[in-house]
Amino acid sequence: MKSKILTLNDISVELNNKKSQAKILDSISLDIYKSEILGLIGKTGSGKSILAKTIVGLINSKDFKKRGEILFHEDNNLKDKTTLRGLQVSMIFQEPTKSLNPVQSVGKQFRIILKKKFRYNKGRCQKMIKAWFKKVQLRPANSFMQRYPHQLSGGQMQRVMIAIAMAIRPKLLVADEITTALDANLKNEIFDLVLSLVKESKTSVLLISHDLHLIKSYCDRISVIEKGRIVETDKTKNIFGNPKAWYTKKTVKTLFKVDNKKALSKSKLSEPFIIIKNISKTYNVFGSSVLALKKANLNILNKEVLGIIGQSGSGKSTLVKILLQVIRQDEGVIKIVDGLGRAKKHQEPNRKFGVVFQDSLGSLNPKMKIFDILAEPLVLRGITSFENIKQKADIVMKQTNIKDSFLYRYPYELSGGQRQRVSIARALITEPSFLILDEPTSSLDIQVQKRILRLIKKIKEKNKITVVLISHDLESMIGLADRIAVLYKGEIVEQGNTNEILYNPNNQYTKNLVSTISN
Amino acid sequence: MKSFFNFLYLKKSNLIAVLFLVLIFFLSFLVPFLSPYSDDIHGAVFFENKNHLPSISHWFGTDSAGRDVFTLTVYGAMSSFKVAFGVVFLSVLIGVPVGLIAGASSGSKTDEALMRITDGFLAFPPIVLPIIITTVLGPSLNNVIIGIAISWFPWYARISRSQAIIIKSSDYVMVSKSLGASKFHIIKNHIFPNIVNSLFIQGSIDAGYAILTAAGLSFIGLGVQPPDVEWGLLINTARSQFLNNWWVMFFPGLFLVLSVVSFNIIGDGLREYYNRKWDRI
Repeated sequence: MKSKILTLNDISVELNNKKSQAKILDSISLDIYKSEILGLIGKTGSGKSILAKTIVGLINSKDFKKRGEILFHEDNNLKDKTTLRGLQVSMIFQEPTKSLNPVQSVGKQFRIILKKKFRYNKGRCQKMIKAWFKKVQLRPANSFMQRYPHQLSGGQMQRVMIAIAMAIRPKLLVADEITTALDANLKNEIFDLVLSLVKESKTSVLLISHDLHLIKSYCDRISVIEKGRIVETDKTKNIFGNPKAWYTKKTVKTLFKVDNKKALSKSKLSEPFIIIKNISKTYNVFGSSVLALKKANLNILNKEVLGIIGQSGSGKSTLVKILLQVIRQDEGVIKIVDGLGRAKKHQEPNRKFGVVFQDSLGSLNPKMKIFDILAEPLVLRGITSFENIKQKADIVMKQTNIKDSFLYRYPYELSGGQRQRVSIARALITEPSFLILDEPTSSLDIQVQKRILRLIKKIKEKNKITVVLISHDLESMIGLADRIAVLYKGEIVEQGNTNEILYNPNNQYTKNLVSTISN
Repeated sequence: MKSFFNFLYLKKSNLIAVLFLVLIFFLSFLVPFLSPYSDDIHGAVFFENKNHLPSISHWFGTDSAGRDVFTLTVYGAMSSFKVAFGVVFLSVLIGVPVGLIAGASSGSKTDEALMRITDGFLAFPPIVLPIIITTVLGPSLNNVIIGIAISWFPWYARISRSQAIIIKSSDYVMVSKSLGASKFHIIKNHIFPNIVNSLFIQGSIDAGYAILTAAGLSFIGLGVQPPDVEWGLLINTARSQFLNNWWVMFFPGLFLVLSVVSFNIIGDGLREYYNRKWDRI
C-alpha cells in the first residue's frame, strides 16, 4: 500500500450568506496517495473547483464557511498556506486568461515563481524557463518569454500555466480542467509529460476534468462527485467497467463513441458558398513577425457543416476573425457566392453571418441583460421597437430552450451551458445564412456539450444554413460535420469528407489526431 | 440602489465614511441657518471674543478675530466639496472621451496624437500645473478647480484608454463588430459601461486628494480668498498662532484629514466591492 500524501476528513463548505445556507461540499472524505493520479469527475456546479480551491486554501472565508480537516502528510505545518502553495502544492486553474497577470510578461511571471522556490539567479531561471517552454512546445522559447498573456492563444496560455506548475516540482498537483483548450495530440503529449514527472519526482495529481477519455487513460483511481458529495471512489477500471452509483453509470454512458454509421454518411454537397483563396496573415509581436495563416485555401460549400480542426495557435481564431472581416488579411481574397452563382468579394462585416465564440462569459457583455444582448444585432439593423425585438427573441429562445425568466438576468447569473445557448440565440436572431461556431463546447462539461451539439444539429437541419464548426476536438465533429478541414501551423493541410478524414487520413498530423481518438 | 446598500453593508468603515461625508455635506448647507454665529462666515469680527478655548458656547473655540471655529470649519466643507466634485467631474469630462477615442482607435495616428498631448500634461509635477494655471487665471475657487482638473485629466484618459483597449479585444465587441457596429456604438454600449466602475474608484480616491491639493493652494495664497472660507485658508491664517491657540488650526486640519481618509476608504471599499462581485462570476 502506498503512503498517503493528502487526507480530507469530512470537509464541508457552505455559502457564508445570511439569506441562503447552500451546501457546496457535503462531508467529503478522500485520500490521495503518493505518485497516484486521482481523477475527479462531475458535472458543472457539482463542487469540483471549490474542492480544489479548498485543498489549496484559496476559498475566501468571508464568502464560504469551511468545516473538516485537511492533512498534508509531507509537511504537517499546514497552517501557513502561502508556504504550501507554490512550494509543495501547485494548482493549475480552469481559465488561463484569469490565472496570468495581464501586465507582466509570461517569462517574468515564471521567473518570480522559480526564484521563490529555488532561489536561482536570473540567468539560471531564464535557462530553466526556456527548457520548460520547449517541453510544452512553446517555440521559439525566447519569443514566448517576452510575450504578455494577451499575445498568446488560449491553448498557449494553458501551456504556460502547466509549465509553471510543473517546474516547481510539487508534491501534489491540482489540475482543474487544464486541457479544455488543447487539441487531442497536445493533450496527450502534455499528459505524457505530467506522467513522466509523476514517475520522476513521485508527484501526486488530482485531475479534475470533464474529459472522460483523459480521465480513463491517465488516472489510477477516480472519484465521482455529485451535488457536493463524493458518490463513488474506485479504481479506474472498476468505475468504467462496473460503476456502482447511479450517477456514475449515467456519466460513464455519455462517453462519446465513434458512430460509424453517422460518420459514413456521404456528403452530396458541391456548390461553394464561400471561397477562401491564398489567405495569409502575420502579426507583429515585439518586432518579430508571427505567421498565423499561410496561404490558406478553403471552399465552404452551400448548406454544409464544415468542421475545421487544428491545435491551439494553429490560426483557427484568426481565420474566424478574417471570415467575419473584423480583421483584414495581408494577402488573398474571400469571395461569397450568391444564389445565382455570382462570386462577390467579401470585404466588410456581413450582417448575414452569425458567430458563437468559445468563452461563453467573455462573449457576452457583463453589463448587459440577456434581453439587451439578444436585441443588439436587431438594433444594429435598425429594428428598435420593443414588440418586434421581443417577437424575434421569443422565436430564437424557443429554438435554443432559453427560459423567459433569463431575459432580465445578467450573463454571470447563468451557467456556462445557458450562456452558450444565449450566444447561439444571439447569432440566430438575425436569421443568418452562415453560422460560425468557434469552439462552442470546449469549456462545457460532457453532458452540456452533448446537448449543445444536439441543438446545433437541430438548428442546422431546421434553418438550412451553412455552418463552420471550429474545434480542437475531432470527436465533437463526428456525426455533425459533413466535411472536415485540418489546419496545422497556419496551413490547411487536408480537407475532405468526414469519413475520408477519419478512415483515410493523408497528413501525418491528421493521422496522429485520428489515432488518439480511435485509441 | 440595491448595490449601494450592498456596498455599505460590506464593511463598517464604508458606512462610517459615507455617513461622515453626508453629514458634513448637509451641515455645511445648514450651518448658516442653524449657527448663532452665522455672521462669522461673512467676515464679521468680534475681538471681544477672540482666542476662546473650546467651550459649550463655542464648541471648537474662537479664532483671533473672535469668530466661531466650529461654524467656519463646517461651512468650509462646502468649498472642499465643490473642489472634490468639481475636479473629478471636469477631469472625467475631459479625460474619458479623450481616452475612449484613443483606445477605440489604438495604434492609429489619432491615438498617437491624443496620447502625446496628454503625456505633455503628465510631464508636469502634479502641483506645478495648478500653481501655474491659478497664477495665470487669478486665485479663486473656480480657477483652483480648473487648474487641478487640467492637471489630472490625463490619468482618466490613461485609465479609459487602457480599459478600452482590453474591452475592444473581447469577444462581445468582436460579435458587435461582425454585425457592422460603428465605433460610436461600441464605445457607448460596450466600452463605457464597463469602465464606469474603475472611474468610480479612481474618482472617489481623487476627490480626497483634490481637497488636499486645493487646501495646499489656498495655504500658499493661490486658492480661495478671504472672506470666503476654506480649510486650507483657515489653516494658513491660524498657522502663526498654532503654539498658543492650537484649536484654530487643529479642527479645520482634522476635518480635512477625515474627509480625505473617508474618500479614500470609499475608493478602496468600491474596489473591494467590485472585485468581490467579479470573483463570484
